[in-house]
Amino acid sequence: MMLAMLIALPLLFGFFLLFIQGQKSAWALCLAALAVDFLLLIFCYYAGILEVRVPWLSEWGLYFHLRLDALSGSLALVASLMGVMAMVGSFGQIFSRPGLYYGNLLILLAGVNGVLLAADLLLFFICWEAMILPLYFAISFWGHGNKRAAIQFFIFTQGSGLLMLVAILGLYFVGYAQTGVFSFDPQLLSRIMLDEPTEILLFSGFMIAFLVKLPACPFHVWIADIFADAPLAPVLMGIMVKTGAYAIIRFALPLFPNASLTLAPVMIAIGVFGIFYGALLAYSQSDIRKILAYSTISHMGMVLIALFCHHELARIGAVVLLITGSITTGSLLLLFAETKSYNLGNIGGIFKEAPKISVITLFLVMASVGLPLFGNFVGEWFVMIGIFATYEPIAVLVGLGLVVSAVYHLRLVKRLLFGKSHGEQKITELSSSRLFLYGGLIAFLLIIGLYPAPLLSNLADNLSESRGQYD
Amino acid sequence: MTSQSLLGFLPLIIMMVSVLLVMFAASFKCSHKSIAILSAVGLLSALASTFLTYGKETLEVTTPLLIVDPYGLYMMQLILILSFIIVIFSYEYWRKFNTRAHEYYISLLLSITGALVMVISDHLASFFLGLELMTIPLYAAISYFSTRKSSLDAGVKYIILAGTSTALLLFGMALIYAQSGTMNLITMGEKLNSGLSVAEPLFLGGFALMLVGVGFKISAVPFHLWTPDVYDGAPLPVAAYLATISKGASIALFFRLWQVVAPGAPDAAWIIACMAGLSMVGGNLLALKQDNLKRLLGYSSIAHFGYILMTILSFGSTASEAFLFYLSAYGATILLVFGALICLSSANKEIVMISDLHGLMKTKRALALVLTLGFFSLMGIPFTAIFMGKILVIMAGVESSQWFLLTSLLLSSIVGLFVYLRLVNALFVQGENSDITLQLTPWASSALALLSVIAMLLGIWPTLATDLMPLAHDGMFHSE
Repeated sequence: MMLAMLIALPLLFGFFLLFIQGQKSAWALCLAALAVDFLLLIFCYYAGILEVRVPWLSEWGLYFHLRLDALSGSLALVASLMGVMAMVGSFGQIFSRPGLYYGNLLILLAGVNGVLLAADLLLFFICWEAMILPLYFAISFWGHGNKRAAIQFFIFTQGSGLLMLVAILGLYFVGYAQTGVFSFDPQLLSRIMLDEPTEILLFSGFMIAFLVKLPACPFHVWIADIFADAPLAPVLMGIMVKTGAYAIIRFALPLFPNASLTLAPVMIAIGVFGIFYGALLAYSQSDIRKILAYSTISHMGMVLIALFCHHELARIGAVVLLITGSITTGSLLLLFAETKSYNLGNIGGIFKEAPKISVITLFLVMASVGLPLFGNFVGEWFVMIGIFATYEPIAVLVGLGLVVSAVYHLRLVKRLLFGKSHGEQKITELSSSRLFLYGGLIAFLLIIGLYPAPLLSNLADNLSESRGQYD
Repeated sequence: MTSQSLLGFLPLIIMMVSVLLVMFAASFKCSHKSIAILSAVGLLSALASTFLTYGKETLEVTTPLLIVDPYGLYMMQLILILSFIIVIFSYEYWRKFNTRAHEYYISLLLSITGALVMVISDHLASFFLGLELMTIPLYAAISYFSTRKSSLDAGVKYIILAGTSTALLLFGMALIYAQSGTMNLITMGEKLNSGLSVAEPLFLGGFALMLVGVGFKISAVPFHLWTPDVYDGAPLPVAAYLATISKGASIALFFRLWQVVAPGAPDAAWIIACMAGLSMVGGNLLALKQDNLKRLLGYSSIAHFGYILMTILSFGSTASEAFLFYLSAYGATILLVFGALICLSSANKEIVMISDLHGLMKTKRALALVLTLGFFSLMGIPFTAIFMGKILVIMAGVESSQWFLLTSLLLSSIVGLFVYLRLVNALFVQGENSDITLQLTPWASSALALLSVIAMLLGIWPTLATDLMPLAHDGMFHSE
């Protein structure tokens, strides 16, 4: 029951918040809800409350089935953590109808928790769909006027989501044909025999939805505008924490092992293209938020390759990359909100004026590049091991990609921190209290970088080589 | 008349009695409130009488024209419940115009009776009778605002088009009768099973003409052109009635007809599939550009009935469950939307254009949230009734491998998202809605509350409704 609270509590708080008018009270309530969610997650994990399975529509085989394990737990923890931190760091940024906005945010959190915890395909789909609308509203009404971004996001995610629904139902009926039981349970469905064309078709149905969310190259168009336009982007993006990649690990790979092997070259090609494409586009941007968006695409390209080389270490590395990547990107987004302007054409050389911001930026960017000491490096290391063990040429390409990704990071640092200073810029320096916030986040990255063993061993239990990873 | 027949026809008898009572009340110049109460009581008693037959299989009625089986009973109950809610909203609406509107209530009750006859009819003659009884009073109801041009426009269009399509329907029935020698659907089914082929030209031609008639009533795509104009000109409660009961009864009857004809006519299935696919996509596409809210709702109903047509074409138990569930869910949701619009309208400011929705989230938050729920449900957001309905429809489609229709459904859903998203956006846009505070009758607010609860409840526990529905095996409905 406690697990269900992880979804129900933000939902209830969210609905309640829809009616609150005052700015401070809405912010405080939202922060409280996020903090409670974070603590509840930790509590559930360590108290061993890991699974809840309640019949919902049992004639259809639909159960309200939630499972908390290392994989979903770590990502959910990062989501909550980023949510809390970002809320603390962005007080006062929402002026009109704050209650509606924060209510939306909490409903989004509930949806994300549902996606990460769901262990039943239809429940997963419902929560997947539930994530879309709050984000659409947040961008559409409180964004910076770019309606097209919101609509693009909406088309892409809803369309691919509906495709995924057809694939889920296809799997459901094939499962019925083979076992005589109507079930949405992925554990059951991963054991049925599928002939190759069917498997490839169903797999594609799932993968298109996940590629859109990842975001991967043909479908990545929505993310740049979202990063630029979403209000409180750090919170939103931190919370949305790479649900696409999670879903690939949790559903696409175990349910369709043969198809994922057959189509692995395609996915790896998309990944490689994504790394370079993202890096290239990031290099040419002048809007800092768009740089971060394209860097996400680039990192996710690497994650995609890691997932499809079918090596356990690569999968573990991919999850570590997801965790650390979202912390890094979220923190950078949060930090740059302080600079009051995101355009590299307007701001430069802030090292003298704002040393605190600069140092933190330096740390975070180095983490993102994959400097050893930080958690990102651990992720990249294992990913490279895995890729090298399976496809050497791809490993060479990925290595090149790492070099290229360093280029745009360094350009950002150079222009922003050390470049030419523009006359009019006003940077509010960080207050010391904020130092604790960012210091904490960086410390988290350092801990993962220096002592990753607990995290890695927990994840390894989850992502073992066996076919059905639910055993 | 045997006791079973009496039980079976009791709803119809009660309806006719209430029509007479309302006529008396009107001639004695009773107030609007009393007329509305009389109508509501009549509907409730008819609804209660349908429950008297619960637990029994098909009733033995003394006429080959009607069949009171579990399916018919469920449809009657659905129609009566929805009508009751429509009467509540009608009272709310006409109250604002300070008119007694007795002709409206009489037309409504007569039309409902016709709808009841249609859903329990098992014979082409009762089909026609019910259809006419349902349609003709609507001529008056649609053009109720006799001083408005758009209303008269709508009425005349409806008369002409309905008359034409009914004439074609009648001709089709005649051809079918000529070929098969019987008008009773059960007997026709037996004849088709034992040798008479559907592919005979007269039969096929007759069925095609009947398709025209039915297609007009459910506004499927080649026959949908009347929908926006009539929805625009008709008063809001009449539009709500058209959207739910008029179409619902027609498609319920078509379901029965199709069960009889389907086994021998795969080509007909293909044609109906085209109609369904085009309705789904076309309905939402046409709604995209509309600025007039009532026309938009009319176009969107085309799409929703396209989905329902899809379930008729699918086979298996999921298909019949999907059909009944989607029909019920859509009825509840569209009444929610129309009801909220009725509550928001006043005599000098009817909600007609989308721009009339501006600023409602600020000034009338509760009603705006209700409308948002309605629009979300129509969109197919998780945890709403129509979302569950859509899942059932997709299930039915996947089970019967209807890939063309599934693709149309996907496309249509995506387009539909935009249609309703625009409406929800409009609620949030700042607008000058300097309104007098609207006073809702407690009936209307409780009806809205009930519908909202149903819309969400059916999304979370669809089995609440499906448990009440008759099961269907091989097209024959059995009670639980």
